[in-house]
Amino acid sequence: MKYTPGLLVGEMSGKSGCVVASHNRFGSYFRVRTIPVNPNTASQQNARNNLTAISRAWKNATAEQKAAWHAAAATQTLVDKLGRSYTPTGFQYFTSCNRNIFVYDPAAAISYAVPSVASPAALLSLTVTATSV
Amino acid sequence: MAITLSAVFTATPAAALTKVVIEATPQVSAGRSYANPSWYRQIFVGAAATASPANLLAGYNAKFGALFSGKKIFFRARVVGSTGLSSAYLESSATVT
Repeated sequence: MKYTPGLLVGEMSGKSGCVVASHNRFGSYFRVRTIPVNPNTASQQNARNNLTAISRAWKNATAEQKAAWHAAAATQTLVDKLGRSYTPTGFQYFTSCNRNIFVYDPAAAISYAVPSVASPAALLSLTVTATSV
Repeated sequence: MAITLSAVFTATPAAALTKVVIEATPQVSAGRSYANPSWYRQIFVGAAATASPANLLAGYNAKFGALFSGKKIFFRARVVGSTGLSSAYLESSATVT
């Protein structure tokens, strides 16, 4: 369970035993944990297989490759579920990039090369129109 | 009027070796102004350097079913590069008419 200490109860997120702490825009709250359903759809299987392949690839990476990913990860700043900034580990950064590569090209091979270019620029505008009749 | 679900985005076309990825939520009450991040599901991955507009209808129908008039859908889009790097999300919403 992630938490930020407060006077009585700070920010929390995650589970501990049968209690789940979470938060929404109104603040933090607790609820009883329920065992989630596992439809195990083709999409879920694909995502899980991708993670398995990436994790296996990390184990097979050389020390030099891992060191390069650790160094690159040290330059990154991400935001966790509680809105706090953190620096990912090399493995987390490797997983993040390769998951996106699978989104870009589902048939792509796992890349051991650290990205040497800047992140793509975000879209400037997005307008969606929906009609049902 | 036909059944449509299309997204117009800029900059268009997307940069070379990048793809636009659009995620959507199920249809919710039009009064909602906040979408939980866990509601989003990927419904569209454009071709590399794809141009606007993007037709989202097939992907949305496959994931969430038919559109219903008066309901609201939240969308968010990011740009993914061939190196695995991704842009920040840009969020939007639309009410089905």
